[in-house]
Amino acid sequence: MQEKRLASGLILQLDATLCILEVSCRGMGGVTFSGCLGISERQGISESWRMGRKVTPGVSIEPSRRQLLQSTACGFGHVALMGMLNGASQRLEAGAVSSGTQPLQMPHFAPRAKRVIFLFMHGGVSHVDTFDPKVQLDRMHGKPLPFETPLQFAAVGNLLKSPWKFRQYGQSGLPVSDLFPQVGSVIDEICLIRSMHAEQVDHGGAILQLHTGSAVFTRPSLGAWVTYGLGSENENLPAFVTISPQTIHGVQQNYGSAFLPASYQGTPVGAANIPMNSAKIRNLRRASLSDDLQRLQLNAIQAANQEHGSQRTNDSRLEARIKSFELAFRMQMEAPKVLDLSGESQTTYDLYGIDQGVTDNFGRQCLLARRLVESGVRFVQCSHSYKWDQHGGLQSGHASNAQEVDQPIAALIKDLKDRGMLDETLVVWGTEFGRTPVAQGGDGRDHNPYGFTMWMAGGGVRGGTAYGSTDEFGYFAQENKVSMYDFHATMLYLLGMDHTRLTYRYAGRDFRLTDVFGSVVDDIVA
Amino acid sequence: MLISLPKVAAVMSGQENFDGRKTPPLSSRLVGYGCWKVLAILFFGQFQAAVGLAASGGGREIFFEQQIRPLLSQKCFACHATDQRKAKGGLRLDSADRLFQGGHSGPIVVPGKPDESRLIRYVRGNADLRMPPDSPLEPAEVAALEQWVREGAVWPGYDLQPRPVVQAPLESPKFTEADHHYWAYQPVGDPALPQVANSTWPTSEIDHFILARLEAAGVAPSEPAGREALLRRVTFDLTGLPPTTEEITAFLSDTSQDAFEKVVDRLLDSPRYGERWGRHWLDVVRYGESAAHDGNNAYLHAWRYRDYVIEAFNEDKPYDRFVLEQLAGDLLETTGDRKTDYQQQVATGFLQVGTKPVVMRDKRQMLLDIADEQLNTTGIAFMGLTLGCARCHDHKFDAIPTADYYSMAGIFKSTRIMADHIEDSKWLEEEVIGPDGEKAKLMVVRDFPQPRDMRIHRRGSYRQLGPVAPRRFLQIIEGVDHGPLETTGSGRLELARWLTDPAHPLTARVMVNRLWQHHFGRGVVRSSGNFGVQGSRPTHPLLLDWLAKRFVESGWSIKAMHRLMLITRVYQNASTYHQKSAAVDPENDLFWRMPRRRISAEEVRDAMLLASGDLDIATGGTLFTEGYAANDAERELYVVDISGKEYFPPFQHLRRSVYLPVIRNGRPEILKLFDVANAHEPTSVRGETTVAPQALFMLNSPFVRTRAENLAMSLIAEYPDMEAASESGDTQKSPIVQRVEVAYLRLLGRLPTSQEQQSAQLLINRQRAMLERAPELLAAVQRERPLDLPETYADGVRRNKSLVLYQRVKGIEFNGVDRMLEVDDKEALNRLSTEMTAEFWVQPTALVESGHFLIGRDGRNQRYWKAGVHTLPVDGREQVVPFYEFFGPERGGLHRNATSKFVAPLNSWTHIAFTYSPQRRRLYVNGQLAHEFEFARPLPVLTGDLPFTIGARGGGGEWFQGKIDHIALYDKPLSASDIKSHALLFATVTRQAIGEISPLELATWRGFCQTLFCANEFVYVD
Repeated sequence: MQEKRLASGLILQLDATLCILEVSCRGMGGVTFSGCLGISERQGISESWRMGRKVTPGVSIEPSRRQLLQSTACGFGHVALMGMLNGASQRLEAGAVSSGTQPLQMPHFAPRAKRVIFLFMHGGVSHVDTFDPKVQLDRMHGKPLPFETPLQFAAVGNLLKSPWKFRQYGQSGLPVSDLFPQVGSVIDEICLIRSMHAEQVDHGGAILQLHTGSAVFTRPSLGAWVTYGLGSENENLPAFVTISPQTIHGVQQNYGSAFLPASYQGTPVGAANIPMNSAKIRNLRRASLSDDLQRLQLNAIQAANQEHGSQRTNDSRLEARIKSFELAFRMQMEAPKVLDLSGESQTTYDLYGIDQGVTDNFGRQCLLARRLVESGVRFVQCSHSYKWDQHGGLQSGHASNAQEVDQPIAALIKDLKDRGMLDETLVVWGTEFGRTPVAQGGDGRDHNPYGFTMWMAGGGVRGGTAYGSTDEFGYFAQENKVSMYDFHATMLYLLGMDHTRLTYRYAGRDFRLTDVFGSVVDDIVA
Repeated sequence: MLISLPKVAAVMSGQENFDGRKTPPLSSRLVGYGCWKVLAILFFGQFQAAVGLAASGGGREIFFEQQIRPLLSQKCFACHATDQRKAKGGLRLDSADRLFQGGHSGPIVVPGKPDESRLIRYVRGNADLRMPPDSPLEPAEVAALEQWVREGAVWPGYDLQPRPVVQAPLESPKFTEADHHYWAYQPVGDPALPQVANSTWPTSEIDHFILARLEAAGVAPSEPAGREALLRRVTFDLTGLPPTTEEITAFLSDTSQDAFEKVVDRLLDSPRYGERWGRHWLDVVRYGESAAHDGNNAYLHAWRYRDYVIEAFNEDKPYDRFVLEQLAGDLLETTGDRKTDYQQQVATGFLQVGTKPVVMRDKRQMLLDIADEQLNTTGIAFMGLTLGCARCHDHKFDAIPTADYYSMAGIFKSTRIMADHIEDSKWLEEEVIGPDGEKAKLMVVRDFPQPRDMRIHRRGSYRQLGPVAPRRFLQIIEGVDHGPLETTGSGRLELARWLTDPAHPLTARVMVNRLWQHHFGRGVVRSSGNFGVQGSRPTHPLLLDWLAKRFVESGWSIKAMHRLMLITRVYQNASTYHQKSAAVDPENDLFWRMPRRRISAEEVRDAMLLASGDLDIATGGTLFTEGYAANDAERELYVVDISGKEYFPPFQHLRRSVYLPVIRNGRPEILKLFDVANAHEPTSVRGETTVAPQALFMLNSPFVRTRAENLAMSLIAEYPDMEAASESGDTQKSPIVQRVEVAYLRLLGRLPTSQEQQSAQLLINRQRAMLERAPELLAAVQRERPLDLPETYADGVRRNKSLVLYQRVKGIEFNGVDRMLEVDDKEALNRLSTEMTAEFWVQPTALVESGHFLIGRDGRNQRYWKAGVHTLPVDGREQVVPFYEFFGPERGGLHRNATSKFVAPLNSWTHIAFTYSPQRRRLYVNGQLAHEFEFARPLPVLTGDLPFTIGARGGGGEWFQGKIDHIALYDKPLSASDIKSHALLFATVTRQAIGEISPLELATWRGFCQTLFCANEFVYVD
């Protein structure tokens, strides 16, 4: 605990976290505290006490997150802070989210989950063929949909019953189709949300909305918001990793940071068109340099930079860059170890379906996701490539897609549970939209954003439940409708963040993941 | 199933929002199918019920759903719907939009008038066409269609005649006193120079404004910057490149009073100036060369606008003219001067190069989004106003009512931007005569013949129309309720003239502020793209006005403003931090020192290329033509999902970064990493981040590795080893010392201190010692693959359906005995006719007795061509030399071969390319033309059933020994520039020139050079 005199004349007792403020003040050689600190009863004060932060009694000083980050964004590297926090952050207990790439962590309230694994099914999974059985569909198979639909884009035909049987699983007895028997076996961990709805009928727009909240504008991605809010738990790894990101539809925007500082963007491992067994992080290694040799070079770089910096005091960017090279060096030592699955047991391989044909690729993704969150990565996305878009060939297409992911997904949930991590890991399964209950061609379904299913597991959600519903045919979300904004708000809530307060000021106004919408779906929280 | 009308009304009048928010009271009230019914109404149009029409409207809807839609679906969709690749006659009946629009021959339905509707005539069968052609409709079906048309052709959700929801007159905005007095809307003043106490400090008028504030605050300005630092600062600032060693020497030895002025003039005259400052403007106008979103097709001709911008800066085109041309060049009189007329056309690319959601299915919305995008850019670029915020509601902070948004949006909506927004959503392009007299295809805009005012779109939706907003300008500036534009055109010309009126309060202020920002690290108004209430206030309002006045007075000369700003004391000050000054003014609000600047992404890349001697400073033109696609259609499509194709040939070029295509969603890694502007939206202030992936890139990427290696090469070449140096009699400095000095000069713009010189030598010696102890490491340096291709290139054969016929990128080792690779891909082989290129990296590992073939193909009747290496004595030694030969077509004749004048050293990687065209054969080694001859005979025509052989001659034999990497066959002769860039980007061309170079020496110096590239000093300019 130290006492610091601020420019404004306030005296603060500082612990590790507030130290950053002091550093950022002096370091900027520019940022005044009056700009960075608001003296008011702002949100999260009482929580920050619990986090171990203390403020001189009588004066609540809460830096606005956005202000602080803004100062860091325009010229002040966050990475610098990392090093400065290095010692301090270790004193914080694990739950108090220490600093990886971000100076200030502030769950607004006790988090249920600490991290996220987002399993993205690209193309639009048919809900009526997977998690949302519709009796009416069977009964009225071949008949026209008895009501008009919003905008009929493609020529669609009559109602098409699901080619798959649904069976009840687990204690909850929730029905799951024969596409996902293994996921069925862990259904008691899962909370289905059958009343998802959105408006975007095109993949691009819908995927952007799923990933960034906005179908039209360039906005930070979900993972960027989460890491902006919570930082990383591992200083040697990026806080947000996206595995096999898609190469079509939104692409980098889906894991980009937009106007948030670049440190919050996702680090890709491989890409959708690269087999997982050869997926890498770019520029992580250099064949011709031994660690020793690179260390020698790095020392020379750092010495020169220190010398350069000593003549240029009070420019924290210079220090930040020095730290970024250190982080890079550590990352290239550590990341390959995490990415290397070869140390995992045969049992684990078998569990995930690795080296077992069609499950190999997604199995590797899921296993890597587990290893990454285990190592403290905050947000991991696995993407099952653009395969689910069955305008035709529904039976064979959905069957082979599901086969590729069913076992790995179930394995991930079991594995996390066995390791005692599921409680604190929010597993999210999602797709950009569902599909129509009416047929397109003989054996296909068109896009349907008006009603579809996503699910969450672990991390404080109520397992073995189904929330909301669509109409009798599965066309429109009907009861307890959940919009994408609601879904995002709920995810943030489970991570301890109030979506209305996770804001960032840019171009003259505060931005949120949920724009001006969204409400937390309390009923799915355990 | 239809819900009763009162409920609909209840929904409409309520404040509930149905667009996705949970609305518990309503969702509990509206059950069953009513729910979707209401949804449909709210989403998809202003339902007649909402304006109080009788239930008959609803009845017609039911009639449509029950009778007409199924009929259309069953009887017509087979030929007239979206999933038919070609809707017959251009007609689609699966959406209201399309049905009412009609097909190629125009509308087919006249609501209310069945007899005049071709649809009815066709189904009746009493017209020239009968539909459906094979199975006529039943009389009842025809009758149903007739009834439907007679009753107004109601299609639920589709508004045949959009009607305002509220027939209210346009309200006048209620501006407050604060709005009226807001600083940015006030006329530009012409302040006198402030008085200063220290009259010796200022060397310019600007300095008076700066010093007056400093004196008032009691802050001492920083001392003058050192001359090296100043030269580096101004050279990067004006050209985006570091000074050359010659320029440094010249400036340091120029003791004249106006030495700095001469430098400024020299730099302003350099073509590099426009490339740097044009790029600033391109940020502001969100310049991009693809549409973004899903249909991310390339804008193949956008580069002409980019070149126009660069040229405008280089020519110092007056800014008012620049604005005028960009907004309305097409509406200006033609002058007869070819260049002027061309520029007037190309400039309007400004309106075209934004994002376009071309795949959006709702085309009406798409056109609105495009107009919005144009208006938003116009507002930010020229006025620093966020007009886009007023699309859905009155601007929350600024005095911009929604009415003003639609007044101005009407101007853009009256401008034609798409060639065909229904079928292909293709933007407008036209061929004009270029400045050189050649035809040039451009993205252009055109006024619609009948411009129209827009209605206010409530919440931005065309489904909720309000009163008409006449086309005119901002009321806060022009006066409330000022008259509508008097024009028969769209109003763009009037808009441009309004903006460039010297009395406009924003145009000149905004632009001089942008210029100031790039010179001084931040604008006088920090938020240079937002002069609104939420933006920053000017720190020096008098200075801003003074500059704006001078700008207009100078004839809107941008170069005059550069001189005004640079030849000042304040610009030439040091960036040193001073505790005392910082205590008073920590944010440097008063400019008591120059801010230190992290160079931009483009500068990082360009400076590295320049230092390594690789930068290609050719100007202008497009790189889209570089071998990756066979024709424009393929080129346009290729970039749609560019991120899956990281090895995008145009990105591999060594041209300045400003010339690399700006593919939205797929920027080159190095630019992305160092915060290049996001091309989706106008960028006035770039971000600046410091993240570990940048460091990884600097440490490990092949790009930086190769830059370091090439720099090391040239250092060694320029200053050969001790022995050579002593022979030349130069005993003053060891070549080691000289190499270090030159590296410092090239990268950091200064000589090393003696301490740094020592450290450098220490590092070099230690590295050498480590490498000597680790032969495997040294071997790894040598074996490092010349191309670090992205992971997307999986092992094995890969064939691209566009230009590259065949690629195999993973190195293959050949044993010289019996290993070869056969490519038996008929489809690919058949595309080889009279033109082709074969390209690869090779690493021969043994001298061979005769020819060893890299690639070959044998035809029948002794027709063949093959390319390889053979051993020849060169410089008195046996060396491996690339060559190629072909034979045929007539038996016994026309055998030709060609041998390179360069060698391919053993155990090193060499890039070899062979091109064939009917007239000319060329052989390139490491990007340099090694042999060429004309040969007016076609290639031997080879039948497609014979495979290619790689690593041996066709059919086997004459085996190659060594490695072959990144094999590519193209069905075109690549250009010399293409081949050079492929060879240069990741490999050492100078290796060839130097001949023998010790790998140890190379690795050692490369390591040293790389540490300099990684230095903070390299990327931060004092």
